Amino acid sequence: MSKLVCENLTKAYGQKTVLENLNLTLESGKIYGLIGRNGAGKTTLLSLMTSQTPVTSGRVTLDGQRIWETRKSLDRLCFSRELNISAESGLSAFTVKKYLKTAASYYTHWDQAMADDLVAKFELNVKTKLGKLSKGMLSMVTIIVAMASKAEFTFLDEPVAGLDVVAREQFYQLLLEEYTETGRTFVISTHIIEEAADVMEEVIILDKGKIIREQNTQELVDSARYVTGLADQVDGATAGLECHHSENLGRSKSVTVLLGEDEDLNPGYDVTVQPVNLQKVFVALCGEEARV
Amino acid sequence: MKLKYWITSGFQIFLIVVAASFLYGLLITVQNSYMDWNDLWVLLPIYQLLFGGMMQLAQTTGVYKLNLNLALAFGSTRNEALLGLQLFRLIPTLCNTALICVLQAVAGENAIFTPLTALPISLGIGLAGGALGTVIGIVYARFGRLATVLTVLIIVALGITGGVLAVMSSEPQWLQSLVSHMGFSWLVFGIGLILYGAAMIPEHRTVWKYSVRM
Amino acid sequence: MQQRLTEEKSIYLQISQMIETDILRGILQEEERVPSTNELAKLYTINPATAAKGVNRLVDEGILYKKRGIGMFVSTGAVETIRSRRKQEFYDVRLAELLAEAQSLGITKEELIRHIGK
Repeated sequence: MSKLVCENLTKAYGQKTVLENLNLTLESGKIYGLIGRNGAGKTTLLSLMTSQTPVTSGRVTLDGQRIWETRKSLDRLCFSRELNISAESGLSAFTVKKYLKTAASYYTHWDQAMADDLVAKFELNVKTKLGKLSKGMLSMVTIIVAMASKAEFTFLDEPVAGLDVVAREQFYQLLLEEYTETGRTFVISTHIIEEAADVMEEVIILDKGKIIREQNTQELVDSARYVTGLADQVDGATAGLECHHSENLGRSKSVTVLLGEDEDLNPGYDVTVQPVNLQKVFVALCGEEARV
Repeated sequence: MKLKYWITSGFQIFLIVVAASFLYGLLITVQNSYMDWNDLWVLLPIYQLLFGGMMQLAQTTGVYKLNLNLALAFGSTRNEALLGLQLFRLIPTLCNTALICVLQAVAGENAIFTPLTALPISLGIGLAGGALGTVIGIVYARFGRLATVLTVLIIVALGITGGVLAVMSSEPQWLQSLVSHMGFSWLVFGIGLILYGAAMIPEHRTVWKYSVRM
Repeated sequence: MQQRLTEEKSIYLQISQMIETDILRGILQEEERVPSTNELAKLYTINPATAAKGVNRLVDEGILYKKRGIGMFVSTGAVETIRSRRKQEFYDVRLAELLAEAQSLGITKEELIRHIGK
């Protein structure tokens, strides 16, 4: 099994620290979801892991070998960035065909047949210039590059941005198909959490430049409880447990609890306990101070 | 080594230079009734020098935000990208120079330069153009708008130089003797080489620190 | 396998329950192959690891068994196993809930029996 390891990663732009002392280990053969609010540092993290941005300090290794300036390691990676094509960008004049051809010339394991298949599947016109594509179509192009790169570790930043619900479903199907066939590792950042929740085996939650949770998605969701009732009853039931996002409304109180292994709510209190989905867990963890 | 894209782009630029020079030469020849086809072959190298230098200056400005950006986004190492950038500039200059020398040799008596004087002059102009383009490109990548000011300044400076040369060319023998003087051609080459070498220092730093943006 | 996933319960539990329900209804018969974890993953757009967890739960209970290199099969006697466990669950959980609710509403045992007999 291969491992991609980030050790004490720090990235600062001038005075502004985007990521601080971040440690993360990615194991091959899994689908990871990277979630975080806008500006949490998701894109920066993906860029650092793939040498697209130089680190301020710390290092990234693949099976013990540095990734920075190492052809052998870089050959095993692909970070297909979200495309935001402005009019003055030179890329806006690239046709889909030229962009894919350029990508093909760089990726060692490029699968042209797959790229052609996906172009047809997404009904893209290869003669269209990138500058003329809608956001959703640009997402399709980034998905095609990611898939056809055949890279062992493939990173996708907001791959479903701008895609309609049918195309999003199509993407997740495609991802699972490729994953079950090849066992490639995927890291996918997304804002549409609930749709992706069932697909990602592990979830990495990034908040203000720090990883605040890295866990098996199902375990995290199964460990979460939404507890409501009379304030003192809720306090009693949740005393000593990891509580987030508590809210009071008159006499009643609600709180999201994350149970550790072998932990349970304190028994003997009259409270309502409901399951919590990943999106709600995320809001509980990252939305603490965002409430009005 | 991921250099295919750089090499292809380099050859594309060479072809553009040749095509532009040929078309421009053709236009001049057709317009001036006293000129004949022989003159076209004599003039062509002059335009090649001109367009070769101009393309170097123009191409390299966007090269960081487009070509370098793509190379790094698609998994190039910094060293590969740096080498790619040099190939991207040197391929058109070298090919252009080779073609000029051949054309000068063929032109025989009518030739403005001898192949041996054309060689350092063409290389020098190509290198100097590449160096200036690099500097503008770096300023553009780092500071954006400021590059526009710099471009204007460089164009003004080139314009003044051109003007001085035009004035000097009113005394043709003087220019003729200058151009045909081997020392002058090698001086052009030397200046080009020094500028190019100097531009590689900030370029190395820029490539090394570059963050991909899309 | 045509049911849909809800958010109320763990996905792997839902997967194992759907397979169980299909076995009870005769949609999947004993000694028949069940869909592979990859097939389930694609069908429900879920991670194969999650699907595997649901299937493995049934293997542990002896409802499914593995044939190496071929896939998962419904064990002989699976219907009986599922039915008896669900029966037990019905008494332990659902009926207990029902009785608790009846008690809190002040419904007497006689009243309850009379309604069931209707």
